[in-house]
Amino acid sequence: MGPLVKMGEIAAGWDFVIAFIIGIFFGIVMEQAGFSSSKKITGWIYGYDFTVIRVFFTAAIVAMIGLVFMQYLGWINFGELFINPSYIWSILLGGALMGAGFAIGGFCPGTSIAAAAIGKIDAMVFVLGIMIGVFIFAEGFPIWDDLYTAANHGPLLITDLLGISKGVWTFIFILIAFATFWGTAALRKKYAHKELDYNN
Amino acid sequence: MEHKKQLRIYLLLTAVFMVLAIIMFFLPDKRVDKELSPRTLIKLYNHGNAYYSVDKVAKMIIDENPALQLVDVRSEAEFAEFSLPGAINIPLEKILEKDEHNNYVWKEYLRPEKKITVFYSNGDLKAAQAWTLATRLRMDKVFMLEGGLNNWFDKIMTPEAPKATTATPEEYAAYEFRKMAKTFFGRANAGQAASITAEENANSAPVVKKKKVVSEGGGC
Repeated sequence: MGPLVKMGEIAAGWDFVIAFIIGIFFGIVMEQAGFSSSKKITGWIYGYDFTVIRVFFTAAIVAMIGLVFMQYLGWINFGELFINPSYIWSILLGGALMGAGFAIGGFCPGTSIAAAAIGKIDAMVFVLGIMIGVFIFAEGFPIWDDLYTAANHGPLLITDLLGISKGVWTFIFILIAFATFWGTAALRKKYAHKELDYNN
Repeated sequence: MEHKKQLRIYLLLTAVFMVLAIIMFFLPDKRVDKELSPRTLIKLYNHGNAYYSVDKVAKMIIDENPALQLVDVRSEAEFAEFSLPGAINIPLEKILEKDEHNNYVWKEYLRPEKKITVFYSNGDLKAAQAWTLATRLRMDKVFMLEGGLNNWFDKIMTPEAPKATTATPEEYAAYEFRKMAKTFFGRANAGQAASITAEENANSAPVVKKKKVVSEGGGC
């Protein structure tokens, strides 16, 4: 049955239209969840707000459980899903850079657009920064091309790497997620600011 | 009071997810087919979109369309003798070779996510084999040159004027385009012949190696 839309089934060009529509709703939901505030987004680094981590873990475990169930029921064929290839150096360096930008700028790329859309000046500056970064990356691509594409391990899955079933990995990940939920709740109690105003 | 209610919700959610987690633990894995199912393959083939016509490819070459990646699947000798402008050579005999990561070697020279790959051979057969393999490996935007190089020579290099009595304006337009294309490729081939002699002197293999570029992922 699934995936509903197979790779290459959407005509070229339309994928941008669909991405645009999904993106609008994604932005609305993020804004409503308070992710247009850099205080909320960087809260987990300083220990007073762990919403970001909780949202990521929640999304991950809901999707994981859904996918594993659908696979079991034969509704979805994992072989037909697109899996990003793993470039080890790109992941490590890119992740570190992104994390630094996250902590310094107070947004991640998606949330900065949502925040810029509601008129936050810091977010607009952040978006400008993204553009400059994209420009430098694109223009200087020949310089980091080799590093960027080095250590390609293809569409690598942790379950293949560890030799465990997807169900067992989901089980482990749910445990990790809930340990994080309860652990961050305890941390938050210790570091939370009572009178934090997210609107300014 | 409010706090207690929240705590109760958290505990309930935790309990529900723990039950789900235990179910997950005992769910058996299904075998995953990494290649496209034969049924989907036939569907793709019959869709009629598997071929690019010689006119379409000629126009893309003339327009210098950067998305086009022609792949010559004939032997290296044949490739050295004649090839379409901008084509790279991946002989069909080498198409099943794999590297140490168990990936097909030739895949590295294509850019499936960004480029439109058009396989061609003298006829249809070799290109169709390459197309089948690439499509089964779930590569995107993979096509074959309809009729192969034989058709290329018939239509582009020796265009035939349409019959004056029955021809439609479209046929005339196609003929005009082919005459123009013939002039274009006549020149391009003359230039290429010279460069091939130079290459033969240097005794280098005609396999053009391209840097691989792979698509970006998502973020938050």
